[in-house]
Amino acid sequence: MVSAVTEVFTPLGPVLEARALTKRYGALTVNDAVSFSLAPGEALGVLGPNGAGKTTLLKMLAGSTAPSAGQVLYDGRDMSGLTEPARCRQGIVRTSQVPQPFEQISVWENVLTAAYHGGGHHGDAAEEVAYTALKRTGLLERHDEMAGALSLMGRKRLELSRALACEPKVLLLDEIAGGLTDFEVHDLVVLIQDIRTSGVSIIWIEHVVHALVAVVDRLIALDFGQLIAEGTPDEVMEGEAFKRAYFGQDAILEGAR
Amino acid sequence: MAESQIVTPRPYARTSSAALPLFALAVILAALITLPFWATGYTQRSVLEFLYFLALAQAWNLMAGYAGMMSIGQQAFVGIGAYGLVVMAEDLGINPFLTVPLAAILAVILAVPVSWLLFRLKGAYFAVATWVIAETVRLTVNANIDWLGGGRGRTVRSLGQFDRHLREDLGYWVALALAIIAVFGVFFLLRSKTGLALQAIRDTENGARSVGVETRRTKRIVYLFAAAIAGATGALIYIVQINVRPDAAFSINWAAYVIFIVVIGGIGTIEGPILGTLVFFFLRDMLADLEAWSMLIFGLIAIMMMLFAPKGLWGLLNTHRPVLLFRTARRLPERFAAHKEGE
Repeated sequence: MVSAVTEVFTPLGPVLEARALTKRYGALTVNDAVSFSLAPGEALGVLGPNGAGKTTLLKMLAGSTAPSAGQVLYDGRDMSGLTEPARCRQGIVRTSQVPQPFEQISVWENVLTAAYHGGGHHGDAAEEVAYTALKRTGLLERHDEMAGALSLMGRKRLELSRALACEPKVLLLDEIAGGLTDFEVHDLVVLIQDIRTSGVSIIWIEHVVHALVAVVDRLIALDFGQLIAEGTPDEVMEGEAFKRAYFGQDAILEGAR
Repeated sequence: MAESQIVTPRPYARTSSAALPLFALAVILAALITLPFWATGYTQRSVLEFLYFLALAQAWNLMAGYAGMMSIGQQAFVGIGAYGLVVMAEDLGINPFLTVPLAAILAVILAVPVSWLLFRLKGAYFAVATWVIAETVRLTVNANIDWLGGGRGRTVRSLGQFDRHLREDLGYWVALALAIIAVFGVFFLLRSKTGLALQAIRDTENGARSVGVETRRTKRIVYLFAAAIAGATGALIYIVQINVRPDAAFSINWAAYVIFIVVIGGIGTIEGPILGTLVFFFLRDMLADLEAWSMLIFGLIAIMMMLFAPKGLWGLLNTHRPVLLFRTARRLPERFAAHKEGE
């Protein structure tokens, strides 16, 4: 009846916490008092139909959109006063749903920019970080290509490489598997698992559910801007509120017959 | 030059062919430095004018071509530099040539509060606001400040202390220094961490912010740099012209010509404005008899370039045989390339 809420007990406090995050555009409420927390090293998936407010939620966490109400806490500190670049340097890094490559510079320069600015490194150290990031995402071969010449998969890898070069503690992924072939999705899942194993906490919005559940420990589901379910992947996806949001009221009734 | 036939994925001059542009650059610099000793007065004055237009064009190109700030109000800082010269040389008794760097500082000091206003605006609003601010300053100086001579302006009498040839030679070298500072200042800025940030902002501002680039601060650095160059240029121009009038010092032509130069030369490159300045001087000489019509022709050429060759003449020249005088691109360091092949 009511979706189960699993408590994650860890000796440390949450690395990231959303407290009643709300976003309104005039009469439209995109996010309505959404609260959840992310434990250190945890991978949290976000599900929800189109327009549920997932991207806006991620943007509020990253600081690219200011909430109408509510707070974002990072390591227990209120992030309200910090801009997106400042949060990025502190370790909250977001990849965009539509990749945002710097098209007229090379792949190498794209990642180097992130290592300098988001990673806060200088000189050789920045180059080291950029190199490692490209190596991890498998883009190293294409370091000399203009970013604008990359395919969709290339752009997504670049988006991820840049995020890694910022040395995130919390990585916010917005539909990074969308539009890719199954084969490409598989590679991406391996990569994200690897990033997670290295100790980065992850929040991942994704419609490609099999990719998501292959990585995350826990799911939250949003509908019409509200948190409707939270728990393990099985708990959430078997929950009634979730099914209703995705398949409508009738689907439940038919299933009951 | 057989090796330049090889198709490379990016327009780099390869290491082996990099020596040639460097040598050419050294020869050109040597010729420019010694020019007052071997050229005619007319040539020297033309080159002087070329140099300060080049400085203005480099600064505007950095601002518009890299940071996406389409200012049409740089004449505000040219005028401020010009009046900085008048006040500092005439009222404060400072050596007129020393006022050139001081005018740059003055322009920066005034550009800081202006940037607070301007940076709230984007795109066309930003462009219009830069123009409105420049006009406001012009009209204020023109009508309201008797001390600055009103519409008639003022003359820099203290320049009389210098022999005419000495004045022209010193002015020339100051212009050369200014152009060198502008060109190499832009070059080294673009090779730095800030340069990468600028190119990131040019391509996508949101993307830049998402990788930690402080977009506002980066744009402000560029805006202040452009103001400094314009301020210094303003002082320099009126060391040569002596009479400072508001309509001339704050003329929108300072912005219009410079935009023309950058657009025809090739926006977003260092070489483009150099080529553009050369073409501009050539065209201006050719069209000199047409007076007002020449402006229409300039405008028409600029529109045609924007429509059919948005990368300018440098872009057209550089598609087939990539030879760059200024390589601002950063490449994967050799130490990593060795690694990669070892695997």
